[in-house]
Amino acid sequence: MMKKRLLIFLISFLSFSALAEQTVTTENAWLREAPPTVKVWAAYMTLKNPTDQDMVLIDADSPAFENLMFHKTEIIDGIAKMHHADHIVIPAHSSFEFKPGEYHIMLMGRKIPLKEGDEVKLTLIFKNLERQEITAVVKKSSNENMQ
Amino acid sequence: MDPASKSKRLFPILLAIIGLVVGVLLSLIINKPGQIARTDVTIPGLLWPNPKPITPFQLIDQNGKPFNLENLKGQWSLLFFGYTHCPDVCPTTMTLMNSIVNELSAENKPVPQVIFITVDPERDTQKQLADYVAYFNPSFQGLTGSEEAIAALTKQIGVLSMKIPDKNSTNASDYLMDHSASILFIGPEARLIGIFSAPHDKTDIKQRYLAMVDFINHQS
Repeated sequence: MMKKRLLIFLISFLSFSALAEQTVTTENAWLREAPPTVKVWAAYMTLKNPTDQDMVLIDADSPAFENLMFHKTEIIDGIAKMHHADHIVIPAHSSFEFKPGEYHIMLMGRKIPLKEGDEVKLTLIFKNLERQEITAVVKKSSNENMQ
Repeated sequence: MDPASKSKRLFPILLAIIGLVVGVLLSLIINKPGQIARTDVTIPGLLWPNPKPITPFQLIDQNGKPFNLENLKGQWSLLFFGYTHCPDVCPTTMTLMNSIVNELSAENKPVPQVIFITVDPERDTQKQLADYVAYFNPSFQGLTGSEEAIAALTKQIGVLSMKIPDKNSTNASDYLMDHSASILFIGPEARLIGIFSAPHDKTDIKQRYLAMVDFINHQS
């Protein structure tokens, strides 16, 4: 009897811990390799939010770049415009995608040479002050469409 | 019923069937795709029957050589206007044009010259452009010039651009450019033949490019 109670306690404790640790996860984080002279780059990724609350991304940082911003490319009457976004909302039980031709993280002032295959550390900072360290891979985009 | 009256009754049915077959065959022959008048061709983005002749302009290519109206004559050209500090739209479009050119070349189709023209001559020096275009494809050309020289070309083909200061930066050289995202298609007679508007899809642009080439080749 005692053993059974202990087991139930353990199982509940473990599942509770697992729930408590649920947070935004990042998939396919990559930076588009740019020509060597270009210091302004873009990063793309998918953020998944399995929690019950909307998560708000308010800032991003990288040791390889001076400044990071969230931008959205919009084509209005044939003109490509970049809109600065103060924050990015990842809705509860949903996801948000940074992708070419749409939302992207603009990385300005590249500090070190980067090429295909290199890994770049990024810190994502959320409104609840959670900070996530992620790694994005530098990739050549060989065949992508602007959708 | 005797055999004679049976065949009498079948005759009109047989006639009807023959008539139907002849009708279907005739309609197939008449509507054969090749016989549709060429003027009926509609390709999205094709500026026909009013292609716009380009008037003289004077720019400099990535090697410092002059590039003018003459360089557009005698070949198909795809023009894209952008700037090298552009992190999203420009590299996406350059990559896409590289894929298109590579596919056309592999398929032995007419390959256009691809020309990137900066709308940001302040930061896009000849050297910067040389590194930029060669990164995407060594055959791509990059053009710059004074603001006035660039405007002499952009104004006549409806390409717009505007400098947008970066509110979040204290550095005056951190600015963005709003700019036309269309790919412009110029024919061998230096006329603006078609406009591929963004957002761009590789297969769609390639197909329309080939259809326009075919259309223009059948006009003369």
